[in-house]
Amino acid sequence: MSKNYNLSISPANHLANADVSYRNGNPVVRFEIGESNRVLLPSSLRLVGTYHVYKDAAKAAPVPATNLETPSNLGVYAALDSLSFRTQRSKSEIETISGYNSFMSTYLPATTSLQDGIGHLNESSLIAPNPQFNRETVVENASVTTGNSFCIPLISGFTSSQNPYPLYSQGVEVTLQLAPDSQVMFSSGTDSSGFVNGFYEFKDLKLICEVTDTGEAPDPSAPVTYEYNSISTFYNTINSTNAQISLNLGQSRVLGVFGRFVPTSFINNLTQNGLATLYPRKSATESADIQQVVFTRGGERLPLIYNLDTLQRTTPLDETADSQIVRNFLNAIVEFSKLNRTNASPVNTFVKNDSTYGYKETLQGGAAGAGIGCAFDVISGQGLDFSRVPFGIQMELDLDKDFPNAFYLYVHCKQTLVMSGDNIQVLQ
Amino acid sequence: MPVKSFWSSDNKIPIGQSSVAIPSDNNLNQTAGQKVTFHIPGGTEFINPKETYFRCDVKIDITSGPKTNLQLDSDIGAQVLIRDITVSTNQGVILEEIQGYNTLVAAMYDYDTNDNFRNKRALTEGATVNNPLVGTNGGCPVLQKNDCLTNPYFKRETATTTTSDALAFKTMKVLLPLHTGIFQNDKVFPTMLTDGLIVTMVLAENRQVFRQLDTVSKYRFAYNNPHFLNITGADATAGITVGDNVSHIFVNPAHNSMNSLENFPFRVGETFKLLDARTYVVDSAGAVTTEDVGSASGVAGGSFTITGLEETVGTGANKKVKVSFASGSLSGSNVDSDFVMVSTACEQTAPLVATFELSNLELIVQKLDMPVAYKSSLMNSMKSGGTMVYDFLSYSNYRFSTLKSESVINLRLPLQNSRAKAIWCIPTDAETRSLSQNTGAVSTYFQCQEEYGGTADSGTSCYSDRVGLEGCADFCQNYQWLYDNKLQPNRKVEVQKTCDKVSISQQHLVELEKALAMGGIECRSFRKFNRNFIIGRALALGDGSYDTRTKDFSLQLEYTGAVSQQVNKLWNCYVCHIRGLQISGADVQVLL
Repeated sequence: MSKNYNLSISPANHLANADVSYRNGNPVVRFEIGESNRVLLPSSLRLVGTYHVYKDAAKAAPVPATNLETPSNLGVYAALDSLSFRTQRSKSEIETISGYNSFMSTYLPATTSLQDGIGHLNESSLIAPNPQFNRETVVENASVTTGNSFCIPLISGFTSSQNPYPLYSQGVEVTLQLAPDSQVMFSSGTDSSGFVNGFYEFKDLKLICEVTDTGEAPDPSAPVTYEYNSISTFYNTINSTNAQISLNLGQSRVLGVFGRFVPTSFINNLTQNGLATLYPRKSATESADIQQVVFTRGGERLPLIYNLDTLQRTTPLDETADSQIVRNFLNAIVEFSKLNRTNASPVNTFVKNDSTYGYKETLQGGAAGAGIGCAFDVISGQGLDFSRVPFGIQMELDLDKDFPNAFYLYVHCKQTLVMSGDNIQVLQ
Repeated sequence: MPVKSFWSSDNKIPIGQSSVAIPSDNNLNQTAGQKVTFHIPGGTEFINPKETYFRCDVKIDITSGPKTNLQLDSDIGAQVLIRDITVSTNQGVILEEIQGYNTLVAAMYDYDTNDNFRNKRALTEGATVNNPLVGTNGGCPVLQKNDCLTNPYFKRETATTTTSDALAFKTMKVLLPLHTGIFQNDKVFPTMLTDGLIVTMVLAENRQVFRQLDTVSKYRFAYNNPHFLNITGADATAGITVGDNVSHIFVNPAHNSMNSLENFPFRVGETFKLLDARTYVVDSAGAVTTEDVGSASGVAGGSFTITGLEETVGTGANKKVKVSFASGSLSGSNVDSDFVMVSTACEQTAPLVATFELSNLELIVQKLDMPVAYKSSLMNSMKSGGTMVYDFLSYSNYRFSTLKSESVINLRLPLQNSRAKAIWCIPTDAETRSLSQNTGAVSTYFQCQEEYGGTADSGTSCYSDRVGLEGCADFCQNYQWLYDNKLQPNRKVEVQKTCDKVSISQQHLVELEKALAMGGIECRSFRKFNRNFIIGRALALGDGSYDTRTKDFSLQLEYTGAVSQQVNKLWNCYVCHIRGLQISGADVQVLL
């Protein structure tokens, strides 16, 4: 007869109840779920703790005049730069998502609704769809000692697959790399002088999870195989009117690709939100309108066997987001016809040249449906082979000024984990 | 929060997918009433119908008459442009045909909706959603036609002062999923066996498709319109009296976010009057019994014509909008801060003439590369005399006209569907309405108004601007079905409370939810229960179906209340049914 147990695990590389912050030299948090005769239910993994935002080294709480903001659409996820799962003994990599906060800034708004944001995500992850609401409740929380309590699932392929993980083969090591303060915090205006020494901090960090004792004697040598979908992140910069991106993805089962733009000057900048999901820009206040996009596989158009010409190609001043760009972008994340929860709307997904810092005024720290992407497989879940042929994006855009834009490309692909005794292998 | 389909892996046969763009047969721009045809070639072999959609660019224009901002329907977007749709084989066998396609889609989208769906439809189908940045505080329902900032059909005003009366319409690219049985089916469609598909759409008439913003209309939630502030530019409200000479007014920035020119829904060249929203009284039949209107004297029709708009602080400290017009004296009623601006663009003697044009028409088809073994096995089976049956949920429209003078109606429906699932009867307004009337909801069918303290609050009154698209409750008292020689349900279903516009008749909604669910609609919203009134009946439950052939099938309606019907009706009775294609060699038979 099986029996479930709930575990609460403190960080392995910090003292229990330690304060953990990037600023004070603790950018890595590691948890170890030890080897035992039980199986781990990965979907039950939660990171628990309290989240604090300070405006200076003395740990004073920000006030409205500080103009300090954090990405309201990400909550605690903004602070997680990478997430990694490894086996405890052999340190073999099960899954790593680098640029985790960057990925989540694209994934979360596209797959959660406004009601999610003001409901359970606000309670558990400190997400607030309204930036002002985020400032007043999380950032400017005067109770600096109590902080903001959170409990978040570590969203990934490993934790979202429904397969139990056999701890009797090997334990699991969960590693979180924290993001720099300058990537998490930004000014609501153009003045960051009120928080140049500000930082965020975690306290009482714990990993909680559920394990099952099946009541049967396990056989550690029995092979275990399970499949899940994961994310590989690629980074590019574009700075011309004709962006050609060609990548060897090295993946044999690619389900889709999607990406977001953010000016490189916004990254790790206290006056700009480096985690905003934007369309390309040619200055801090001007958009560089996408005019045409073509996705290729080995130089041939695929999966769209036509040029995706946007509204802005014929009407450069049109501020409405191109519906085909939006549809294909969202479709790359969740099949569009089955997308029942999203924050993307015309109110936050449009192309607009605004005055000084317009993108921060829109909901969701930028735009919820901004980005480009395409799905390769929405039916069979087997994906397309890019292990030997390059993936390409050919894009014409109005980037006629020297203003580099970062392009984060997320490759959604299927992976297989094979474990046999001490051997572990990830097939991509 | 983790989306299962994103992270969990599937194990199915690998199928290659690619999307191709098929231009319309004549490759020309199209206007109202014209026919659009697409030919999906048999060479595509297999298609994913659910990922197939109609793509085109839509441009609205006003060719003559007063200026005003127009858009397409806020709920169904550019789907309103498709009146009828037919899907047939290359040999001309009609696989399905839906008359009144836009009425069907209006029913689907009104009941299967929530914020997420509205947003998706707004991003891709040309619908519009409530923009909180121009949010209203007039105490009315959330408006889907208030967006003058990100409206896809016209540009937002970027200047802070303007005297230009140029129109600002722009092109919207729309992607329309086709809500027919075949194109909403999850199953792969074998175009190679039907020698392709021909999709034919007949476009709607101009008079049916355009809408004014709710924030300028006298007939739709007038409380949400710009409120009069004063003529001095001070921050405090101050009235004007009849006979005062006026050449401009200032708009109250504290009401309905009308504090900047880009938030302001009127255009230069648009005509307007001032209506007292507090004393405005509309009775339950839609007759205006009291209205106090401030108008221009010495002008035919009494409307002010806007000659300039300016964002200014005036003589006060707060930013506000100044509306200029030709100087003249005020007539009608004294005007105070309860008065709102109401557009008269749709009530002018010179009628509003608006058109739409579709360009770059394409059908985006997702083509599937099935495994070779599957294809050869299928072809071998077909060659050896095999038959393939392809079932899908489709809709047949049985239309029936009734007159408003009738008080007891028996709708006899000659249904011919062997596997019917449900029937939805939508009593649409069949009165002749001009483009201006429908666009501005001018004295059209009266839908509802809120009550405050037990008294009708006519500032929230709502007339229909979707004539022919949505059902009119119109004082129906009860209904009952007769089929299988039995009255079903065995008691009349009371709808009096809903149809008299006073409350909710609940049994009707239970019946409707069952019918919508059996017709493939997940009921996510009953917000339009009285604004898109539908009488529904589930003919089977679960996976079952009902054979309607050779049955005497009728709907009995009683309009015997204190108030008689207000409009003639065209009943669109959609029978949701399983339709089968029997494909054998080159022969395709449709099984009703």
